[in-house]
Amino acid sequence: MLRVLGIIAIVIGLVTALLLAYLSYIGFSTLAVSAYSVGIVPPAVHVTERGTIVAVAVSDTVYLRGRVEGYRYTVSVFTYNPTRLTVERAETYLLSKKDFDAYVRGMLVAFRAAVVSLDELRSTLRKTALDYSPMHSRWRMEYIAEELDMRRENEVIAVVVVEYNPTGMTIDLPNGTIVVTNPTILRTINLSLLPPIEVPVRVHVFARLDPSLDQYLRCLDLVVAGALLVASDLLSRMKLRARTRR
Amino acid sequence: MRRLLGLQASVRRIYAYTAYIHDRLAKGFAAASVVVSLAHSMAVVTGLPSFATDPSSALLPLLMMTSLIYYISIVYIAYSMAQELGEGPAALYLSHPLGRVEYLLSWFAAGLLTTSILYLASIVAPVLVMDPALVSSVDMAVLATLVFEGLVTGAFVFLVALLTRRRGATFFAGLVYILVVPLALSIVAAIVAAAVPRQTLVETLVKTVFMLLYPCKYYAIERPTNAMATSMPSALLSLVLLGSCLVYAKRKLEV
Repeated sequence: MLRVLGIIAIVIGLVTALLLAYLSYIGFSTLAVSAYSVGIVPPAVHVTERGTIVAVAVSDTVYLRGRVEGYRYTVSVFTYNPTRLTVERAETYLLSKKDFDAYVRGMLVAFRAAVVSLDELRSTLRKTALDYSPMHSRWRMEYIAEELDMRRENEVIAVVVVEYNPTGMTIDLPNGTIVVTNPTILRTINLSLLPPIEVPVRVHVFARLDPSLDQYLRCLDLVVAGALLVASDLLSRMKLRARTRR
Repeated sequence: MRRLLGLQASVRRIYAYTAYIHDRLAKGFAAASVVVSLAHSMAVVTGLPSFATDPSSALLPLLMMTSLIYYISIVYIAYSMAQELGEGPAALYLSHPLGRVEYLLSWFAAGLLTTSILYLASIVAPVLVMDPALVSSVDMAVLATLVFEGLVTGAFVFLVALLTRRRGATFFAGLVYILVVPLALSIVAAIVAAAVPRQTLVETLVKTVFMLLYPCKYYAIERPTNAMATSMPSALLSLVLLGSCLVYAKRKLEV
């Protein structure tokens, strides 16, 4: 049994060391946890000086219960545009839940009530964010944030600020007429009539393999321990055989 | 004092015979252990982040597959015992000062204790290498249900080996127990559940039998809140079966 335990230790030590080396060489990463939410932005959206309308969506909280040694955790935020509107500008802010609750949650309410301006909101988000990044337009109007380092945070929230060009947006007026918007019309109508905008936000926490020296040393320890077990078993066998011969 | 010395000698004989069984089956042990270790190392290195987030859900699918090798190893050891009993070498060993109960206990040690230790070591060692802090987060309830299922399987096949003394019958019974019976029970449970919307006596009975014979599979399907409590009856059943093996060996085993 000692010999078999030794063989197991050698196999596990070697396989783990080889896998660590190979997988880190090819840049292996795996999904640790993800969250998906669809923020329906209320109709009281802002109209900026450039004539764009702004939607702010907040993702669900992503809980990372445990971290593993030898993995670097990064966050990717994905959003896409299910409307026909053109996106003028989009940004993602990644915040710890603690900071979001302390500084941003209340500010978002004030922003929706038009008490706080978009610039003030952006400035607060930049100050409190772990990281922020503009989003680049990709296939099917998908926006992929650059990978963001999670640092030591275990609960994170993504805030996505998207500016849409309202040209072509249809509004049902109370008298039954349907108006197709443009920046000029937007300045004249009641903003509460604007239809809600869907902003789906998907947050993925990826773990990228980045083995530490300790891990390689532990693999080596296991191989050595296994070899010792096998050797001690063989030695005791040889001793027994010599004694029997005598 | 004399009794204590007798017990000591008995333990020494069991140890010596268990070592002999290990030597005989060393190649099989090594082959099975290497396969299981490879699978566990690969799964742990690639899946540890999700395993750390939700230990039971990430570990269970893998263990359900590798545990098959563990259970088949136990069946193979019972098969070897049946071969020994049926083809004569057992008579030679029992003519030495090795009692029948000692003989059987040696097989239990090789078939149940050794395989369980090797299997558990192959799960814990990769986690230990990757992140020692995570060893405490390994779901012990899952491992316990696995071992209990192995114990029930082992107790059943050893009893078959002892009663029939035919290696073919032992291996066949073991494979039926591992592969066919759980499938058949699941089909019966599904048919009953589809036929009668509310829980019937038959469904409860099927579930109870499943829980008793396959605590790990029951845990994977039903996810009871207290896995240890639901697998305790299986542990008791395996003890009863192993005890009846010993009683049978002491009273009726003729070689």
